[in-house]
Amino acid sequence: MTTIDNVNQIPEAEHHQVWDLPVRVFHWTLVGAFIGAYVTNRLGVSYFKYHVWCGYTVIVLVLFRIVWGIVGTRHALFHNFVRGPLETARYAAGLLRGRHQHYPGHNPLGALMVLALLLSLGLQASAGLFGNDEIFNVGPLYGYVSKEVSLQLTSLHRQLFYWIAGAVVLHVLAVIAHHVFKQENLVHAMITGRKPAHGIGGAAHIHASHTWLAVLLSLALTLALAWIVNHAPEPLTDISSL
Amino acid sequence: MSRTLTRAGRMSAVGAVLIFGASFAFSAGAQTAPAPEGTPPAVAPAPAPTPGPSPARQAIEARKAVFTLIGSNFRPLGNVVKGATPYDAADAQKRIARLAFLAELLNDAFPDVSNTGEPDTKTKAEAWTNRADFDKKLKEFQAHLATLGQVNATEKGATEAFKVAFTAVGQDCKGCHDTYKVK
Repeated sequence: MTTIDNVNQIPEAEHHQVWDLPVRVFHWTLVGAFIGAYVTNRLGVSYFKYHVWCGYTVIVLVLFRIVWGIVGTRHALFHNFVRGPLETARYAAGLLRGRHQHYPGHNPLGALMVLALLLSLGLQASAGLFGNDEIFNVGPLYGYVSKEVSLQLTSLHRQLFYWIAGAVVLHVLAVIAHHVFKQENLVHAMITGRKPAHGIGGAAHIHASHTWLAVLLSLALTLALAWIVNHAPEPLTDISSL
Repeated sequence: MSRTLTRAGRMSAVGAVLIFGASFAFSAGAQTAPAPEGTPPAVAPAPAPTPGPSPARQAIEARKAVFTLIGSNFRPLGNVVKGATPYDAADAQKRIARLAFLAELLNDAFPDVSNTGEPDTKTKAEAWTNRADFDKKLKEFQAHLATLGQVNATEKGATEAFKVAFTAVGQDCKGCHDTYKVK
């Protein structure tokens, strides 16, 4: 049986590939972009430009992952890991009873976290595009909305951060719990993409990452976002000379 | 016998007419009689005062106006720092002078009565419970504006020193908002 002590001693040949390279790059880049967005906000008004760049990164990443969840490799597909409420409840109940339940990719609760983070981070970055800090910085798409709408979206952007932070804390705690209670090293799996074979079942491993497709997709999304940002109307400058 | 008034009847009739006439004259005179000395001139009672904004509302609207003007004078300097508009010495001096004046107005802009919470004001109650820290931040804002004025007078351009001084003021805005303005 795999324990914490010997999980790293299972021969590499008995690890199978579950996460493709694009999913792994996506995951860790998103971590960096989220932390970067937070840090650039704390650093102050002169770092706003970098804050926006972190936001652009989040948008491209989230959009990429959604498309990849439709055209990507086996365990990246939403179809394969998003479960209905009944199975999710059964999985949760099984956890509490200490039942061994193995899912090669995301388990049903993990699936909920994936969806929650994708939606909230996507919403967060999108709202930020229209923001106004009421000092001297505005988001790139500010010219599209009225000041009232912008301030509402900015308020959403400020408040939603705390919910996302809470979800991230829960996510980290869950990963730690997997390590401690289920002897599953998920961090190792999300870096190398490989999990011990006995935990994931027979033919569940993937053979290729289709990285070229992911690169093309990311490029297309980046260009689309750049076009949208560059064609946004200029915000009205202060007309009053007071 | 003819129905003529007896002597008593005649006297009664005359008396009734006299009394009636006198009371009529008397009441007529009473309506135009001058008021005795010392009474105030009779005027219609004053109408109820039209309801206007409460003192809290007035204070809140006033400080929102001050912040609006602070913003409209700060942003052009921000555009200069970002390189979007060229530096103009006269304009920069004018803007900074106005900002300094407006910042002084803020000293009186947060009376206790205006601590009414949302949705009237976006100032959090902490601005009054932590008044010492709030006032300290206000003083820093005013001090950094004074520094910006001095730097502008010596640099006369969008130099690094100007940008540093400008950013310090911007940080004061953000720092105070992050703590004392509703998100």
